[in-house]
Parts: sequence; structure tokens; C-alpha cells
Amino acid sequence: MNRAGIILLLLLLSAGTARAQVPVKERQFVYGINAFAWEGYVGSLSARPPHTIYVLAGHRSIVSARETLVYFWPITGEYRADWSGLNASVDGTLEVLQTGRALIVLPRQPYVIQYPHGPDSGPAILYVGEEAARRYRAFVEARDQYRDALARYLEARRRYLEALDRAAAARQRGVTVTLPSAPEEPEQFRLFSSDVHDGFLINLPQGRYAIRVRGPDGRVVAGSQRTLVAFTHRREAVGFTIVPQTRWTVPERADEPGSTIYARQDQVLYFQPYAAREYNDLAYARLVNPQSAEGRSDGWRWEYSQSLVESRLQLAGASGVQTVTGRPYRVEQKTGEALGYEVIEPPAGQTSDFSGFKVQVQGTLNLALLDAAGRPVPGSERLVRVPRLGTAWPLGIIPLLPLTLGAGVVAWRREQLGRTARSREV
Amino acid sequence: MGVVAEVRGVTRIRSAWIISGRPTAAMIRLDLFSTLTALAPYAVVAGAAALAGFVLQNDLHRVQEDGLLVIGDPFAVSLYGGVLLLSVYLAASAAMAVAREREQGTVELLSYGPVSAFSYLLAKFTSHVLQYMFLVVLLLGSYLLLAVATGLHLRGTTLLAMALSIGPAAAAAALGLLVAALIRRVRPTILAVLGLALGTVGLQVAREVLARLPAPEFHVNPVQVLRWAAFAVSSITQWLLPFGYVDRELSVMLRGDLAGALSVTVAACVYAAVVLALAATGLDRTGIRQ
Repeated sequence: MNRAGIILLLLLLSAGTARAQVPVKERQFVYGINAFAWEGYVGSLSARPPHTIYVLAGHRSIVSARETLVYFWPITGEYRADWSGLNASVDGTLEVLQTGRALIVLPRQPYVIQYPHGPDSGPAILYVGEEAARRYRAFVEARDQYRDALARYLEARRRYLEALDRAAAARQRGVTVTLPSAPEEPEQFRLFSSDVHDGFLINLPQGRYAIRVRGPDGRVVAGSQRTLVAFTHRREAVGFTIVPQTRWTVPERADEPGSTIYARQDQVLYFQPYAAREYNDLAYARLVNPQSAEGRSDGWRWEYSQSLVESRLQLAGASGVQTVTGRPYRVEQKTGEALGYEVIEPPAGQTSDFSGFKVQVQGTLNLALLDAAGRPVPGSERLVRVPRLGTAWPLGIIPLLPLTLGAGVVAWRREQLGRTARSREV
Repeated sequence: MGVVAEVRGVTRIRSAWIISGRPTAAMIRLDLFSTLTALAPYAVVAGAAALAGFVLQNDLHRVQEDGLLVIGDPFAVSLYGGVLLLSVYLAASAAMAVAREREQGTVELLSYGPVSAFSYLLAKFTSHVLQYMFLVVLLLGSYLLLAVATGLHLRGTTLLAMALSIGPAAAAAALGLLVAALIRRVRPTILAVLGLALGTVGLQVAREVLARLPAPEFHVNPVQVLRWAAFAVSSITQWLLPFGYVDRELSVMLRGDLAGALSVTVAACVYAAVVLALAATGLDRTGIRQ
């Protein structure tokens, strides 16, 4: 029994060893891409086998020529780069060609991408050339200052806590002492910056291009040919994310300008407006990830470019026209046995979870976002309706009406035929 | 001299109308009367309305349960299903009418009079297009009642899409006539029409499903090959078969692109004219006897 157990253990161990294979890495020329997208700059990789690179037309993106170790990662079905193993910059210029003719030649430039409100929030800003180095130095200085201020604050807080303990002990002995004032915490440091890298700044009009890197020796660098598509939006409108009060975790989007919003009577909805642009689904999916298997060439998707919650919302209904302003709201979990959430206006000093326009549905409403001059923003008009949610029997009866008409017509025809036959007999 | 030529021209037109136009008009009247006094077309409209009722009930259920529903056009799916159902019925009805009259020897009998293969098929085609117009009005009435009963919005684009669907429906009727002109018997004719309709719809569904399956650009895998095949075949059938015109016309119109929808309708009418001419040639070639 023991021997069998040992053999089984050895077999299991050997199986484990066989599975833990290191992926085969290949030294390759690749493009590191930092493509402009509305959610921020999206970093991705274009390795061999080559595929099309997508960028937004009229916006600044960066492609960097690099040599790295590329391996296939079967779990996600993607090619990945081992940047820590090798990250060598490739010298040369980037040639952009259209219909076989060289359009522009781009030099390498230093660049840095910064997020003023943190890496996961707010817009990203790309700085190129000397400005990039200056911005990066400013970032390092500000970060060092924050670090020093934080260290001073922590030291002050330690002393403050010690003073508090001493004061508490003195009070227990019956000595009256004045409590020390708490140190002020330095404002949170949100600015985030990438390191300074070098790459080619791309800002092309809509079209299909070919790109390649020409080395200092005048030869095209092997494996650097790619197709690049600069695409733009089809339509512009105002999109709404609608948060129902009773179901705030599952918001709905009303992006299509012709869409209608159906809600229950007295339902409270929070509208969050965004400037939206409609892009080809496949192109945008490949912009975010050039190796993506998602996206449809015949599909379209709306992407939000910026929040418009600072505007005003006009509501026109049976009770007249009113204007609503956007407010911050906080979501609080209900306590007690009744599970659920409650959306409230945050008390002073508390943070909000989202901002939007509160609308209580009372019959049919026509809503539109107003610009600074009080005019409706084009593409922001929506219709809110309350459907009849009563009994369902009319939906079963109505299809029977054409059938009843048909039966009546058939009966009439038979009667006519019968009458004709009878008159012939007579 | 000019007056004489004018009188001659009028006389020619009148004699042409008496010889060929009157029998064609009579055939249209007779055919329209016989099809509209049968139960089948009303049953198809009832089926289309029942489909709309089911879809709308589902939408209402979502509003009831979730409190919110955002939708472009609540009648879009029902309209697509309804127009497709009516078009398939129209193609099958036109094919059956010709195949049955051929089997019964009616076509042979008509050919002894002043009725050519083209005027016979033109009469069948016109009566079926007029029948479709009547059925669309019936379906529209059902949709209006459903809109009133549910409070869901029946948009102007839906009404325009219904009006413009006459083009694809005419193309479907023409295809039915072509199939009947090429195949003599009733049952194979019906099976062929239904096979073409189901094949087109099936291909469209397969294309939609395959398009949603993820497949990397740089790996050759079965999904990619099947997707490519489905796209290639459907890109041909959507022009060769009329049921593709239904899909194109409705999707363009429901997006609010009136010019695009009009161009699809015109293309469908051209298709109908070409197929009708082919059907007449086919009937001449295959002969009027059973």
C-alpha cells in the first residue's frame, strides 16, 4: 500500500512538472503602442504575426519601435512581451505611406503620459519633446515634496498621539491640561506620470496607411511593416447613463438619439449625460487591444468622451417645463433586515458616489440637455414614457382580430357561392 | 397629318388594351378576389401580430421587473419577423397559384386566348403585390392597436419601413413566380420556395452567431473559416434572394436613413422586374402544359 502511494505521488509530481512549461520566447521587433482612447491612453503591443494597428484620426498617439522577447500566452490567446528580459529601443525614423507613396517621415521623440487626477480617473495628457522632460522633472519634484510633507506629517502625528496619551494620563491624575491640536494631513498626491520614453508621434487624418521603420543605415528594419488605420466617428450625440433608484448597480445606457426610455410611474431615475461618439465596433476594439478577437466590422458602438453633468436638463411634461441641475449623490446600504440600497444627497463633508440629474417619472416626458445659452444640445433629446403595465389579455386578443376578419370574409364568400348555386338551380 | 397619327396612336393603345390589358386586369381582379377570400393571408397577419404581442409583452415584463427599459424601437423585431413572414407567404402563394393552375391546365387554356406568358405572370405578380399592400395595412392596424394597448411607442420610421417593405415583398413574389415557372409541380415548388427562404434566414442567423464568437485575427481556426464562409455566401444571397432585401431595408430604415431605405426599395423593385422577365422566359421555355 505504501509503495503504491509513493508511485502515485511520483506520477502526480511528474505530471505537474510536465505542465509547468516555460513559454518559448523569441527576440522580435515590436511596436509598443500608446493609442489615444477616450478612457485614457491604451498601451498595447504589435508583434509578429503582424496585424493592423488602429488609432483615432485627429488625435495624438505614440508608437515605439522596440526589440523585446515575445511569447505566446495560451490562457488569453495573446502574444506578450517580456519587457523585463529585453527592452531595447530601435534607432531610425518611421515612414508613413499611403497607396505605396511615402507620406511623412517621423523622427523619434521623448514623450511622457500624465494623469492629473490619478491613473484610473480623468483625462490623460501626452507631452512630447522638451515639454515631456520638463513635465517629468516637475512630477518628480512634486512627488518628492509630497513624500517629504507626508514624512513630516507622520512624525507630527506620532508626536500628537504621544501628547494625547500624556494628556489622558495627566487627566486621570486630576491635572487639567490643554489638548494639542492635530497636525494637518497634506493634500493627497494624485498626479501620475509614466517614465520618459521615446517613440513616434502619430496624428493622422482618417485613412489606411502603411508604416515601417528605416534604420540609420538606410534599410527598412526587418519585421517593421504594418498596416495602420486611422478611423473616426460616424455620429455625435449626447449619451445618457440612467441609474434607477431601485437598481443603481445595473444602470442602462440610452446612447442612440432615437431611443425611448420606458419606466414605471413614479420611478426615480438619475441621468448622467456624456458627450458620445459612435465608432466602428471592430476598429475601437482593436484600438484598445490590437490582438482582440472581439468586435464586429458591421457593428457600431458609442464611446463617451466627457461628462456633461455641469449642464442643465430640461423636462417637458404634462405639468409644464422645468429645468433640473446636476447634483452629487451617495449610495448607502440599508441597515436591518430589508436589504437594498438608498440613494441620498451626501451630507456635508461626505464624498459622493456619482453625480446626475434626478428625474421622477410622471407620465410622458420630453427631456433635453441645455447648453450654456439655454438651447437644447443636438442629439440630447429623449422621450420618457410610462407603458401600460396592467393585464396582458389585450395582447392575446388583438392578433385574433385579423383572423376573425378572415373568417368573416370566408363565410361571406361561401354564402355568396351558395346563393349563386341556388339561383342556378332555380 | 398630325391629327391622323394621333388618332392612330390612340387606336393602337386602345386595341392593345382590349387585346392584352383587359384580360390581364380581369385576371388580377379574379386572383385578388380568390386570395383575399381565403383564410390563409389573415392567418399569416394574425401570426405576425401574435409575434408582436409576444415581443411587446416581454418588453412590458422587463419594465415591470426592472423598472426601466431603454429601447430604440419596440416594434423593430416584430416588424422584421412580420415582414419576413408576409414575404415568405407571398412568395409561396404566388408560386402555388402558378403551379396549381399549370397542373390543372388553366394556363394552357388561357394561352389559347390573348394571354402571353408575361401578361399572365404580370397579372399574378400585380395581384400578389396588391394583396401584400392590403395585408400590410391589416398588420399596421394590429400594430396600432398593440401600441395603444401597451403604451409602447410606434415610431414614424416603423410606418415608413412598413410602406417601403413593398419593394422587398414584390421581389419575393417575383421569385415565387420564377420558381413556379421553372418547376412544374406544386409540392416541389412550395418546398423550393420555403427552402430558399429558410436557407437565407438560417444563413443570416449563422452569420450573426459566428460574428459574435471571438476569433483572433492572426490564427486560422474553424470559427474564422466558418465566419468567412458565412459572410461570403450571405453577401451573395443577400443580393440574389429577396429575403436579404427585407433585412437590409428594415435595418437601414429603422436607423432613420430614409435615402438608404429608398435605394434598397428601388434595388428590390429592379430585382423584381428582372426576375419577372426571367420567369416569363422560363415559362415560355418550360411550356404551358403540365
